[in-house]
Amino acid sequence: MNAATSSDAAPAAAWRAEVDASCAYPVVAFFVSAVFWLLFGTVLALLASIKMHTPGFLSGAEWLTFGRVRPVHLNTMIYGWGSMAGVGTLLWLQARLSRVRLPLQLPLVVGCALWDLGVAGGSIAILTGHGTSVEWLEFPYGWSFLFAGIFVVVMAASLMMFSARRVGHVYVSQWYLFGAVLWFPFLYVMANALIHGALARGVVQAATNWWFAHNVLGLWFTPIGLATVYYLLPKVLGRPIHSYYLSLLGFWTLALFYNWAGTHHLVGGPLPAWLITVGIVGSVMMFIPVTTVAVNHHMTMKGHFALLKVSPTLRFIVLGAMSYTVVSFQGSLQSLRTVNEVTHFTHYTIAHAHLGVYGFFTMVMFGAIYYIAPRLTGREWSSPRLIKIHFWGTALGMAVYWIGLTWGGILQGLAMDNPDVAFLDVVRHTMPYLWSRTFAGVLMAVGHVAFAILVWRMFTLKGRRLPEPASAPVVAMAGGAQ
Amino acid sequence: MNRAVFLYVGVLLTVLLSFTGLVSIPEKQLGGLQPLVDADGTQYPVPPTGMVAEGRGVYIADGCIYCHSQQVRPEGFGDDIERGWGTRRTVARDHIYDSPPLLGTMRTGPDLANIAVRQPSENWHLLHLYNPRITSPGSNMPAFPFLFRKVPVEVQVPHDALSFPPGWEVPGYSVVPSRRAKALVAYLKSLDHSHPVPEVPQ
Amino acid sequence: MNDRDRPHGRELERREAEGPVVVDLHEPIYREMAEPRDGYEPAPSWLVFLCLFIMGFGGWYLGMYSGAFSPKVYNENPAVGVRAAPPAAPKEVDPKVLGRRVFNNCMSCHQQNGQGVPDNYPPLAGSEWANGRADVAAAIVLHGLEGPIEVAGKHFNQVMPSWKHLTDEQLAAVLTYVRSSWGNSGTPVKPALVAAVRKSTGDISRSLRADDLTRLKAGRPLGG
Repeated sequence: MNAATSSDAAPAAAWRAEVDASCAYPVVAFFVSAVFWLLFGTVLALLASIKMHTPGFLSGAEWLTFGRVRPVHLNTMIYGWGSMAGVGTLLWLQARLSRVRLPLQLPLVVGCALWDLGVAGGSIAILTGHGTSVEWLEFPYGWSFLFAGIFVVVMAASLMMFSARRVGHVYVSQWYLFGAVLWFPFLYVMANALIHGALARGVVQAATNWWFAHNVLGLWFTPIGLATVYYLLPKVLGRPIHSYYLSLLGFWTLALFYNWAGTHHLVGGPLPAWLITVGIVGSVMMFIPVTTVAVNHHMTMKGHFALLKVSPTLRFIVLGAMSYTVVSFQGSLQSLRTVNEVTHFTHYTIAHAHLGVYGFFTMVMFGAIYYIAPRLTGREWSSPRLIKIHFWGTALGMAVYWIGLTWGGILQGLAMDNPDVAFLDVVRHTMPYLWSRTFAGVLMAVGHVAFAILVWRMFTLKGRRLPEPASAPVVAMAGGAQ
Repeated sequence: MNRAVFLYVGVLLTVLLSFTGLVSIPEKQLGGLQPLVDADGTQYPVPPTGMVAEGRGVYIADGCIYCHSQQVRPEGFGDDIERGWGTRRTVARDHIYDSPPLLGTMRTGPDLANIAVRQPSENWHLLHLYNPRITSPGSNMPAFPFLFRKVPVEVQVPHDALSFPPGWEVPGYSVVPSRRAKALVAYLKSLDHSHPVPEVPQ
Repeated sequence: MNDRDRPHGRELERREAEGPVVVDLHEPIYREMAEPRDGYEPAPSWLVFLCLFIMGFGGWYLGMYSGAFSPKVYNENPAVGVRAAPPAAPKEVDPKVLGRRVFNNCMSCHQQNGQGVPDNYPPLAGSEWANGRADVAAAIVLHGLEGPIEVAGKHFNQVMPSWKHLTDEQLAAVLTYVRSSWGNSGTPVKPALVAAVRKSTGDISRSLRADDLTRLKAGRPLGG
């Protein structure tokens, strides 16, 4: 076991404490908001899931109709939970890696509050019939100006830290964070202008739509998620990342290929063949960064899997990293025309999307919050039992969700591609799988409630106080920490 | 990789590349597509206007797109054409007036690109919207009762009241479609992509 | 602390059962590891080969299916001129199977069981029109039907679309399917008959009405 040498231990603990303290207000604000939206989005998810197999459930009110509840679920999870947890993590990671205090604390806290108002207002807009039916961009056009403004503050804070960095070597996590804060605002602004601003015409809007939507995962969530794994894995293990060369290859191939993958959502659609083919090639090329990152993480982890038992952070991020590998291989394969012919338009795609945003990104964010929050508050997590419930609820829930809808989706696709099966019979065949999703949703919801209780207790300072940093020996217990 | 300038340039370059490839070039290639004009002067496609445009708004507001696609895949790829969802694949020209195009990515329900061709009955659409189980037993589509008004029968039976099959009546009331229901049906009855296009050889 | 000192296996279970093991683990929260560092292991050679293979595949796929990057090419296959287009002739399908398949189009009104929707859409099971003269039935599917009509003793007043965009084979098959299902006993319909009706009623460009059907039954010509 290799850890910080005792000579630099005390100063290291001191600057870390200083950096963490500077992050406290903005990052806590983002985390608390994120968890609120996670709960809110979970309620909508359950509603939507139940409506799929029991269409009479709460069907009397227009604002609760499936076609409104579903996009609100998606948008609160993406812009509420995912992005806010991601920004909180991003700011803390960038501060830690650059070894500087977090700048723009007040603008960031204000931005966080405005962001909450934006997500709340956008959700109300969709529920009252002002959604746009442009997938992943359902909030009306006006909202994009608000979010773009806040992104500029986040971008500025991140870049200010990066340029003031006190470390010569730029660690791999910083590459990804750097990419994320530059890529996402560009994507978001361009997509809104081209689609809602109608600068593009007809199916070009559809191409733009999927260029954007796929890149929310590819160039926003994925880089933040990978940056987190690249940071926390060696941090918890106390080992170096296996190979700098693999990190390099993984990052640049991801940057080069991921953003071309979007048009695989339109295979068979009204676009010229080349545009679809380019999307498929982009997706298949993702084999390279994904395999590279998987090898890099696995080799770092190798021989230390026993630690999964004792570190909740490690459990969540390793599960997340494994999901990333699976979901990306799956994505490359399902973009191929032969596979897509069956899986397109079915619940298979929904299972895939959840494995990406939930199995990978959300799990990594859970792990990150478990690691970061105690360092911001100086308190322990209050209940190991709730952490267990959280982990097993969400992990089993995701497994049931993915297996049920993947299998159900394949059967649905095969039946739908067979003209001798009447359409209503296709619907009947999918029913058991739609029920399995609701079951999975309940499991996840239980996990989320446990997590929310933990987070609530953490930020109301209910946990046991941590020992003072300066008095703590850095080496002794390091192996077991987190 | 310790030089920030590499990161800046590389990161911006990669995203600009894909923007060029997936957005700019397609807009250059397809943004100028024109409608077809037949010998008798009819134009295809036509921009949605009046009730059709209003109905498109209802389709968007109530999120029909989350279960219904509007695109026909080519012959030999899936069975869209054999299933009767269209006579030809759809192409970019079909959507030049759609902003945004409502292509959809799910088929929890059937494709609607040519619903006007196979289901011209306004009565059917209204019954189906009021409660999909009336016309389509086993369907999991939500009902849209809020697009209808209930009028007590003792007042009068309005001429546009729905005629329910036995067992589906609302006792004591007539059910009358609202303007939004009629607009939505007008939109559905406009969805016809059967006009031949040069992009798809017959 | 090395692996030997860390609780695991039975010891860990025991401590978990007793309670706050995670709290124990979180106690040294500030005693964390040093900031992450890079190792410099070389990339495994299989990975390099995999990358080359994937890039080769990507290049091949792009060249093969990109339709010369033309906005007019929608079919990725014949565009490169390497692989022949799929045969243009329609696939041969057993007429019984085909009939059932084409009936997908009819189900939303007439229902899978041919019973229709009471008071709204007429049944095909036991319908005098479905079981009656084949040429009249063919005219109905070719041109559609609207307005009041009596079917199996009940009155209906609805709209049925024209299906003339379907082929003679498809229409003959679906008619045969309808006339032989749900206890129906109409004679099978040959594509030639549909073709003949298509020709003889070719100048009609509107939906038929009940009186058109009476005229057809009597062998009289239809008004335009």
